Amino acid sequence: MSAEFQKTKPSRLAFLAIFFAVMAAVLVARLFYWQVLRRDDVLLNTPGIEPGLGSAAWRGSIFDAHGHYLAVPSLIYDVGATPRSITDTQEVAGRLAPILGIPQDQLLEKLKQNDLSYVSLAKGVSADKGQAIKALNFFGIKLDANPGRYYPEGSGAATVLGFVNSEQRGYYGVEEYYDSRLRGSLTGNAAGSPVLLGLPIVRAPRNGADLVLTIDRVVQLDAQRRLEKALKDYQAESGCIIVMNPRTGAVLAIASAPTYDPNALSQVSSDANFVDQAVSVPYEPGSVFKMVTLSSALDAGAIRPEDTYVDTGKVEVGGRIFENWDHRAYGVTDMTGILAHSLNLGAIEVARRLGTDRFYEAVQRFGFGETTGIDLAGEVPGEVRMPGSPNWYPADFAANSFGQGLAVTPIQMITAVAALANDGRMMRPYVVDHMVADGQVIWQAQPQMVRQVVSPETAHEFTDMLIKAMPVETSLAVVPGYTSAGKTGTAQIFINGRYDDTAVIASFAGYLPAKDPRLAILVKLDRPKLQAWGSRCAAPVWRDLALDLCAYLGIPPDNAQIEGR
Amino acid sequence: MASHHLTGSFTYPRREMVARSATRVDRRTLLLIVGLLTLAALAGVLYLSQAGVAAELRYRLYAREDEARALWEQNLMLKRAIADADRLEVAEAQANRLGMVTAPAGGSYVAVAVPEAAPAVAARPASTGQAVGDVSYLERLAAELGWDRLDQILVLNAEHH
Repeated sequence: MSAEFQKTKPSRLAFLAIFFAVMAAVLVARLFYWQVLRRDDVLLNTPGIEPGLGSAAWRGSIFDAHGHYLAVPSLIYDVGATPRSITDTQEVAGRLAPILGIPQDQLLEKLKQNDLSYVSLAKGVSADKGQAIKALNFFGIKLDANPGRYYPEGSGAATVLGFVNSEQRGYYGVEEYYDSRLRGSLTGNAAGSPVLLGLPIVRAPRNGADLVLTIDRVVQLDAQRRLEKALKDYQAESGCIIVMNPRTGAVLAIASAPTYDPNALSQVSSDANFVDQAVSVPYEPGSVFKMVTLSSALDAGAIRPEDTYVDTGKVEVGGRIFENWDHRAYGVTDMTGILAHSLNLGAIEVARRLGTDRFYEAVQRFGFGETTGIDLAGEVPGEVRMPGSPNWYPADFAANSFGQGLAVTPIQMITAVAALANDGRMMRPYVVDHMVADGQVIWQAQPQMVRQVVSPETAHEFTDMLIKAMPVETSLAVVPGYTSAGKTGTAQIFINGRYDDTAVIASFAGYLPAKDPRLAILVKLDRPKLQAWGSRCAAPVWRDLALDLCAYLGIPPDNAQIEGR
Repeated sequence: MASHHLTGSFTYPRREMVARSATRVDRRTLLLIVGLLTLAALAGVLYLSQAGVAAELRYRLYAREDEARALWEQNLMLKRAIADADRLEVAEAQANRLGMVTAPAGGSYVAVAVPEAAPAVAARPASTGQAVGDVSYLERLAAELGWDRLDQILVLNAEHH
């Protein structure tokens, strides 16, 4: 200890100690004043501060291909009241009742519960109504804002988009598939953390990424309207329409019915309405599948377009008798005739020429029995029973050749048809084009070829066959001004161990312009009651939609002429 | 100095005669304790000072959070308003108000219009005696698009098969 320190008077040290003690006492008193005595005032003067929400990140928006909103983050409010703080309950109840849509009597009853410090008046109130209540500025009425979701096009694209629940968790469609990307990260909030030596660390919230879809809202809404009209016109129970760019696999529209309004989930009558028919509900495709059978046989060299067979009207395979859809015999028929008349026996003959192994290889090559990989939640692989599996029978081979006895999803079917349109190249279907975060594109989808299902030459040759066959099969699918290639399908539905003659799935799948395809479209109607054939009910819907889209997308007709001055 | 010693000898008893107090500490120990107390007090003051600043900043943080929250709400409301205004139904209604009609299915339609040289509306001579303000919106729009030159419109004739 230094000599100087030894000389220090104890009284001076005591003075210093007392001085510091007093200063400390002042600071403690100040802290006590703000943190304990005035704590409520501090909190009351900053109303609405709750951990999480004040600086919460919001869920990313979803846009269509042209930047129009399909889903936006929004607000919903929980409305409550402190009854003892409300003096004129009559007036408050009278003004709130029409906004909340609750009878005035019910509100009055709640507001008169003076023994309660808080009563809930309504939960999940929309942003508009919440703002209207806020504008009333009633003392004692409390509005708690919560993140919500708004879908401006309502039911127009509901099954593609999906929806979010009250915890902002995505369900179905894009909302579920890209949930982790769409979600923002919450901030580390200061409220509630202890005061230590430093300030609490508050991290900036990160908003979820925005998604820009390949879906074009005009195409989507047109498809949805056409589908709903078809359901009404033909008294069908459900259905779906898919529009795809065959060159890239980009999906322009997926209409599904029945559907729902994601802005009014409480009014949805059945959970089945949430299901996207296009990716989650397999069906027996029927004669549309003949496109797979014949193109595969053509590609394998098992048939030539000019080859013929003798249609006897009946054939037995694996102990089961098969007939054509009209129970007629067509005699000598060429391969194009099989398509033009949609002959089941012709498809069986072609499959036989191809052989069991090569047929099922082709079925797998076209992607049946496995998911397409589309970026939508809930995709199922369908069901294709393969030779050798315990539940496969030789008769299945014949039935499969014309699209019965196997289950495919509409997205699988249109992907396969689109491959024929795209020089035999099958593309992975996708609905999200790119992701944007903080103004920067953080991910860009690239068209992805899955595999070459048939050679380009075969694809062109088969397209020529379809062009010839389609007008013969159904003139209702002919799009004025455009050559198109497609095929109808009318599949019986397997009910209680047998195929029901009265319950069918009518469909039409095709592409146009046939020589330079820009659109591949599938229309599927389930159990139409007024027209039981795909050529009668699905084909005209396909034609009308195709015509709309050609005009909208500016696809020039085949015989377009430029008129001079 | 001598008197001091003398006074001391009379005022205080001799050391060896008085029992040492149990609480009494010597000067060095006292200084050490006081020093430690001072350090502790300084540390305490520093801590409390920091805590005071933190409390004050926290209060300001609350206020800023409140502002941020209000802006957050406004932003979401604006997003919704934009989305609402941009709805396809709204666009359709607006198109109907402008006199647009649904195109007939099939048949001929004007697909492309190519103006010779886009004439600016304001630069056009008011030869008709009509003020620019009197020109209807549709007429101005058509003029801007060059649709007043019908002879230059290319018609794609979509004939029925």
